Amino acid sequence: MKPELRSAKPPLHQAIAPALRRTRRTLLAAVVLSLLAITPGARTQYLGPPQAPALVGPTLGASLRNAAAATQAQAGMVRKGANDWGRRASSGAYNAAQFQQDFATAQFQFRMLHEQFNGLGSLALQLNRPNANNAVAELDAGLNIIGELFTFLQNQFNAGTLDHQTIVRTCRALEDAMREWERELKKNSSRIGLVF
Amino acid sequence: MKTLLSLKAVVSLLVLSLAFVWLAGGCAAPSGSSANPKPGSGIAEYRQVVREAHRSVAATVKSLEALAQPWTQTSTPHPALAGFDQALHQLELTSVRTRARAEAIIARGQSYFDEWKENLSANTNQANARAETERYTRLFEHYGRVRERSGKVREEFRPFMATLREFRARFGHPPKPAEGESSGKEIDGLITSGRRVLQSLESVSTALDEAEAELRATLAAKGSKEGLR
Repeated sequence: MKPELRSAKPPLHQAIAPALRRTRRTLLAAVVLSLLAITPGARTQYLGPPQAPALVGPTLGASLRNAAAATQAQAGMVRKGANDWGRRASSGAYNAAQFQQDFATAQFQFRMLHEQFNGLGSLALQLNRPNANNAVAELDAGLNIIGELFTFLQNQFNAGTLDHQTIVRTCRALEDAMREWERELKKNSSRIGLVF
Repeated sequence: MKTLLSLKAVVSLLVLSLAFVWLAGGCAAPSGSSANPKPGSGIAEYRQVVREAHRSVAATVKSLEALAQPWTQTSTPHPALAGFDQALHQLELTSVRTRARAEAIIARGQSYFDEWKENLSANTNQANARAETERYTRLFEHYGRVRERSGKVREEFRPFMATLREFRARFGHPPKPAEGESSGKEIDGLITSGRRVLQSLESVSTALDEAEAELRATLAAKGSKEGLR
């Protein structure tokens, strides 16, 4: 049985659910088609899944700066995404399907952040400076710990015990933890000689 | 000859102080290529991490104790719930910061001691080599103790945090008959678990104090010997 969000409100009426799902599929197809047909000039408006940036610069320093800027931007995206998600989840109409979609998006963005950070980390390790190595180890450990919030939400959802308030609280924890992580990234970046 | 001796003394002191940089959280180079760390500064920094974690866990335990007080009005939330939520949120943030820092520091420690060990074999003077090996062994034992106790904190903390999150997700829903009693037992279990985390953190502090005392004694003995030369 598919887990549902625990809510005081009655679940969506079963008769209209398939129709809604069909509408959503049609909408999704339309969005995909419109994205394929979009002009290059308008692409900057699209805030969908991030693309791996071109990290390579003329020097190691330039590559590091590019990678750090991309990681910082991605971290901001995860933080903002958590804020938006929390606001959506506070609505009484927020349902299990919406949660799954938001969860998948947030987890994807978070994985992208981790990948981007791994790229930055491997560049920073090339500096062969202990302070850079320490910074990388600390930031990497931080991301792993923040990732525990996703495991928690997933477990709660699978157990059928997830409710709106838990999602809202966890989103707030994710947002604030990301803010701290970004601060550490900035601090460590300036310590290893990168400037934003 | 005198210059060579004093150079040896400086290198030796530097290696000794680097052995404690595993606690410094990332601001010194094992090869001495960047600014030299102040011996023991790493211990102070690690102690700060431990203190911060202790404060946050203690606040959570205190809020749990308040939540354990009986509350019969089911129509309104427990008056201690807001305080518990605040403490739990703070603990989430503190845990990210302190656990990440502690993990990174401990991970670096071994490589500093490895480097020191490599330097030991390069010492050709037998008497010096023996004395240096003894110092290495003593300080490495302290490092090992701090690492082991930090591992214990990690073992205690992870299930504590996970249970706290799960408990909060359940708490505050309209209780079914007999749920109040089980929630009371759960809070008691959490308080016990939180106190165990606090004890583990205190044992890390004790290990840090011992390491610091050993380092001070070693540096003082070494300093007085260098002064005699």
